[in-house]
Amino acid sequence: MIVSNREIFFGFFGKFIKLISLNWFLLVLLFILSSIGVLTLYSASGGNMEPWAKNHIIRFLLSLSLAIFIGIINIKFWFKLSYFAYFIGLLLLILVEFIGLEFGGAKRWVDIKFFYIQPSEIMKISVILALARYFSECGDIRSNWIKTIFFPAILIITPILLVLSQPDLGTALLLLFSSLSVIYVAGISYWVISCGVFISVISLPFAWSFLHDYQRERIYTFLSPERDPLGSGYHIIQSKIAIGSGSFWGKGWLQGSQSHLDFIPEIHTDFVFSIFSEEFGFFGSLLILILYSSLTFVGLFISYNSKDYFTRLLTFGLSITIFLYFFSNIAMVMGIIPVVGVPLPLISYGGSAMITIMTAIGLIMSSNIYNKSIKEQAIF
Amino acid sequence: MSNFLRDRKKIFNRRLFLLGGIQFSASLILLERLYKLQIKESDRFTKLAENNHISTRLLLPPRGRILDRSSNLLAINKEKYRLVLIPEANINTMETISKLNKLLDFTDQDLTNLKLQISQSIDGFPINIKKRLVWKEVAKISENIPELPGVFIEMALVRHYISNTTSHVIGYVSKPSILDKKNSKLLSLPGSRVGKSGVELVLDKVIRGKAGRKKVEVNAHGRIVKVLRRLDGLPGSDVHLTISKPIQEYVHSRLGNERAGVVLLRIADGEILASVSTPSFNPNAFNTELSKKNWSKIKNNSFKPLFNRASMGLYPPGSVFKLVVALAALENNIIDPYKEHYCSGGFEYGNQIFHCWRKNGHGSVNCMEAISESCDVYFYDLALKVGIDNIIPIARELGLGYSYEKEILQSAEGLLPDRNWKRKTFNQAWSKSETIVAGIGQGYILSSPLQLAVLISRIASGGNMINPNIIKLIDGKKQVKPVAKKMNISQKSLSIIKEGLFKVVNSRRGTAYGSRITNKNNIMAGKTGTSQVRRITMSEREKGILKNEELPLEKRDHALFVGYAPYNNPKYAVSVVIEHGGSGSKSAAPVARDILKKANDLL
Repeated sequence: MIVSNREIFFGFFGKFIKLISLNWFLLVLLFILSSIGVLTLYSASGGNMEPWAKNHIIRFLLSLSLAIFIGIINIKFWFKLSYFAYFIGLLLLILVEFIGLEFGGAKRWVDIKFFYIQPSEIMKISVILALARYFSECGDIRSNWIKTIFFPAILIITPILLVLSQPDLGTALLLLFSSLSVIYVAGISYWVISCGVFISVISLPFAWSFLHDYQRERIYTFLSPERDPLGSGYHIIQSKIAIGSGSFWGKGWLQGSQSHLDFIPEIHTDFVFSIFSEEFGFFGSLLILILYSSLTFVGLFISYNSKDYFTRLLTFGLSITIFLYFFSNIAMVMGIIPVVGVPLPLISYGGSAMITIMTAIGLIMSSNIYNKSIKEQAIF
Repeated sequence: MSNFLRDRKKIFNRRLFLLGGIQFSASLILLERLYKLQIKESDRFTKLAENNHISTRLLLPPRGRILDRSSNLLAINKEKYRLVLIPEANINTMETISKLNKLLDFTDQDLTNLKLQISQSIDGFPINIKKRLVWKEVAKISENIPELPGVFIEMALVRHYISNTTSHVIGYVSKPSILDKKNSKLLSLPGSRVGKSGVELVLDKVIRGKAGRKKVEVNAHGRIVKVLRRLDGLPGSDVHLTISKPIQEYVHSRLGNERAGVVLLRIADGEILASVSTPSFNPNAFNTELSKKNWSKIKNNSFKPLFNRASMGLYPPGSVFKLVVALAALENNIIDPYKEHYCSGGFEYGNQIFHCWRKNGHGSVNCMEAISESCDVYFYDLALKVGIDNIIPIARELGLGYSYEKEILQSAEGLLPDRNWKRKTFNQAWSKSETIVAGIGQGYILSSPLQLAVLISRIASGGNMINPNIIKLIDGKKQVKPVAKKMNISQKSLSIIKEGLFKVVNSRRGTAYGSRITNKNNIMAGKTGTSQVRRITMSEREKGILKNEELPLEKRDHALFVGYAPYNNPKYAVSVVIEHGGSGSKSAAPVARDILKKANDLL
């Protein structure tokens, strides 16, 4: 995959026609999910466009243009940019350590004049980009252990440690799982995997000692939410009541008593699924599950059909990221996993997660277009 | 090309399928959980959600009113308005206050207080802005309520007693005690009141009513968002008393500053038309938080305003008791009522001399004259002849020594002493001299104004065993009253007594001649009584007995009078006891006359 800058530049203009060859199915999915987001946020503010629904529409339109913009640019450009993006991400993460803005006991944002950004979100994409590029270039990863473990481990562990120190366990775990799955499909041998699992199990008690009190509290609470029904378990219990009381058809739009009477915290961000599920019931929740699953399975399908190895790894890793996003959020609000503070992309209010998902979709679309244009595995 | 590079697509695809499968199963886990929450256990969660946001609150029912026999109001519920401000995040409270200031003109002190309260307030919890709004203020604020966000006018029903004169009968309400609250949900509601004495206490359950219910939607902070349904409770039942408010008030004012107990009975059925005890107290004072100062003022008042003299005050009946002695003698055929007995002003028994109230004696008097002139010597002699064992049963038959309407009036039983009682109490035998003293109603005998009213009404009715009662209607339903039995006393004896009672008031030499009623249709009969508070010593007697007016108030005699009218067709019976009032003829009889006249005029 050696391309000249000229070619990329030419590609950018020459392939406006690419708009037609975008994966429209993905775009429709994005549109439906974001519309659900607008409906739900409208309801969350008690039947108002302010303060969330209106902004959500604007953010959707802006980030959708970003996705399309990324999508119509030749993937080779992004390939070239991948390490750079990784280093920028890393730099920003380090910046967070020093000049990060603190909200609710965690430093996650940096102020770059125009708006706040969350470097850990950028990292979710960059780390996949970097890994995909690494594995597509390094040849036989089974030939020596440095190639197999050392470089990938450094690529992964550095940002994870930085994110953990913010502290943001949820994002760290998401990064860990998406990176590991990329390494896994890249063909790391089961022998190495076994060693890794063994070491992790042994080091688990140490990891526990590194957790913050509030993180441990969340895990305790997860294990038995009724332990402290008015304290930290309260949110999960109320969220389950909201979802459960939705029954099959839901209480109807704007009718959720749990959500509208303040029983659920953060209804516009982390717990947005609870309000949706209360108002639209099992029927609506099933629809969301199907939409998100389609999103990830389309990604996996594109990955499977990729002829190019870089795009194959990239689209796979991004699909996994999208999956982990929605799975951990929905599992969290239903009490399957501890409260980790992961938003529901496209539906939750918040720009960072939306941009991350749109970037991922943009890269997937770009890969898709690229793979349609080549006959066989062109490089290598 | 290494083996790996050749195979890596296959490895990739295999592993992609594996992870894809894991993803799919993870999604199925989500689906399973959704199914469990929203379909399998949805009923449970629906109920939980409902319990969360729907709460049932009790509504305080209005207390039943208390009215007199002709539906004049005695105890009612007054609407009181209070202004509250419920601060919310989106309300500019200071602006609201300044708008209110224009309407209500707060003092600077009020304003600073309010500002302090607001600075410490929590969203959603009401702040009292002003208590006891007058109607004009309510109207002003209601008019401007759209411009006053967060401002509410709350209405509460507050018990109000119209008159001070019925305080002892009706009693009063105050805040429920912790025990009361434990026993009744209704009483634990804010603003509820419970009867603490009198009718309010005894009929509390009837007057209280049944609580209504209000279904409300509340949010997570417990704030009411919406009223869903309202079920009004049952207001408490109205209670009609047998009391007549105009007469009650008349008696009260007639008594003025005296410490006195008065009972007026309707002879036909024993209904208590008036039961007055002076001084009285303001029952409305107990409704709100009574200050320690006010409470000790009432409690330490030496005139004991809370004490119901009419039914609980016990006094020696004095000469009124002579009626009992005379009846006992007549019933036991001990005397000929027309036979005269000579009164020299004293009665010698052993080495003791018992004096008549008239120092020089009454000369020769028969039974009726002895009653009308209240000759002590005649009755010393008579008591001795009849004996205490024959006197006490007649006293009981006439209604002494018994507690009437005990629960409401807490009426005292009084004391009818006999041989057994003496032995039990003092471990001594009954002495003849005690019988002699009992003959003029002194000594151990104690009775209440209520009992004396019963006594005179039983005599006046010609032998009906009248039982006094005070509840006329509850919730419009007549209260069942036992039919009065006939007393075991002959008409003949009673008519002799009644002749004596007539003479007391209407013969020139009668002790109450000065208080006679001249209206031929409303002739009064009755008996005076003066009961001694102190013992008159020999030395005092030698120096000359001081007149009541010359004694300090606490040593003056109690003045008593029992009477009825009209003489030919007795309708109303009255008893008047004025503590330290001097003599019955001078101070009690005129009061009784005025009451009976008033009763005849009004009823």
